[in-house]
Amino acid sequence: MNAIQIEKLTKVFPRLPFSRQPRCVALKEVTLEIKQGTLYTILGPNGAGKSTLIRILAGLTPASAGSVKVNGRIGLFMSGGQSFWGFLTGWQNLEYFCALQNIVGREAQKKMHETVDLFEMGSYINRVAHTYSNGMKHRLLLARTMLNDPEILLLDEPVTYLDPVAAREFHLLLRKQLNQSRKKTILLSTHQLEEAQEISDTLGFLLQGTLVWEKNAELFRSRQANLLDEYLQTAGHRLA
Amino acid sequence: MNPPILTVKKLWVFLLVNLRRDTHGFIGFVARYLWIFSLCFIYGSFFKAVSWQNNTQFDGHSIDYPLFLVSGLVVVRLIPFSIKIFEDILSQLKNSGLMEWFLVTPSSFWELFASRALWNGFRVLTEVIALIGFARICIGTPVRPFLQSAVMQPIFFMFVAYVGIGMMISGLSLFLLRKSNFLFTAYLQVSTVFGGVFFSTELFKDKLRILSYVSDSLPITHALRAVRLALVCGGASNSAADGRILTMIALILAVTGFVVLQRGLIWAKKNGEFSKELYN
Repeated sequence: MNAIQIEKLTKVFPRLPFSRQPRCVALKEVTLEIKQGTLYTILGPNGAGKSTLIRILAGLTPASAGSVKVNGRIGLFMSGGQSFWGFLTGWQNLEYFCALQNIVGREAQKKMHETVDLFEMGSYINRVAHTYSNGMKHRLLLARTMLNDPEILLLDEPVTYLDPVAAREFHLLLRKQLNQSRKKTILLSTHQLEEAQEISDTLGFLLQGTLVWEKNAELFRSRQANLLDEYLQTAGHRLA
Repeated sequence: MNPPILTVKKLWVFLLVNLRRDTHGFIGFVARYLWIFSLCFIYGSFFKAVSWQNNTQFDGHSIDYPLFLVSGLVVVRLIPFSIKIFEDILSQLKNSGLMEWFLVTPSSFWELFASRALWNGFRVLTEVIALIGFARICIGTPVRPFLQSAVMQPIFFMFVAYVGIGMMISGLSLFLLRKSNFLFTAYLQVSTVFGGVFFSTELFKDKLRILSYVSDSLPITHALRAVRLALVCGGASNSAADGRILTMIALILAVTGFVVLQRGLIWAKKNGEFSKELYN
């Protein structure tokens, strides 16, 4: 069964009145299916339409044409700095996020304890959040995403601000704890090619709003093809 | 997605976030009120130093200037708390980067607005009590009159009127203006200058008559006139006309503001206009 089904999805940002920015076609007839319990990684250069695709799936941006079906509760992780209260502790932040998800009282406490254990945040969860390192912040944000026990995780460039070690840890956490153990369907957008090929089931390449190719990640893991070569060839060829 | 459910526990969590954000602990909470002491002290010293007029004339009545000023200060302090309830929440979500995540939760903006309104109501109450108390200590204004319902009623309706204006500006900013902070500041300044906080609006006559139209269109002018008449005359009978106008203005503004903001939220959500770029 498909967790996400997208057919001929098109997104056009019209030219705004009094703006010099021209009309922009962010997505052009994108069609893709993501099976339940799989990890799908979407690759592509900046401006390819990855974030727009995730925003449309999350219901934050309306599509211009085409259809989108999402079968399950969504957990969203958007890139771009911290999105929590820096003046609260990690625990207080989780309490607030639980309340926004309509989870309060004992249920919230239970959920928070489970999440803190899952992401191994016990040693710093009672510290004020603005003192966290980037890795800790990312864990807090991922913990927040998990509070409503989503079936589908939409992660937009979650490791942008992480060093290579923390990024690798984060990706392995996604694969082992969430995808393999808890059978979450994950749509991940990233620029980390090595980790992408290591943790994904399927890789898709988006360029200038078009899904150029979709390949089984096993192809790259078994060295039948090289992901970096494929990436450069596709991006270079199309951009030339 | 589950519908929004505002439970007491949920409201309590939101209130705690507001408290922690605005006070930064007990010391911050105390410091917040020190300005009131300074303000009263400065005005008290000023009166004595320049031996300024003891009484101010308005609507054919005479009122002690300290009482005139303190009632003005008490009422004008309500404006920033009432007018920015909605913008505070929207800008907090935007600045913290929480907006996108918030939009995929089952909670509604109105739940956050309700918690902010409660928190701001508490702040107003404590600030007004502090201001009246310090005014009593520093410049000897009487405390008892502020407890009368004839005084509290216009203050309440003025609060409602400014809540309505706040909703309208926030709603319009979602549709059209995008950046609305200057409107809040401008409206606050106009209300403070032309509402009769520091001087009687009777000054606006002859060549300044045009300013009296501006003054009469502000809820604060009617609220202050009603409050001061009640203080001078000891009851609501003389301030009934201003009370009626204020009630009407408050109801119209509150209903219109609610409709505009509700439409703005729905429109922005539907069209994906809550993105960070919109606010930056």
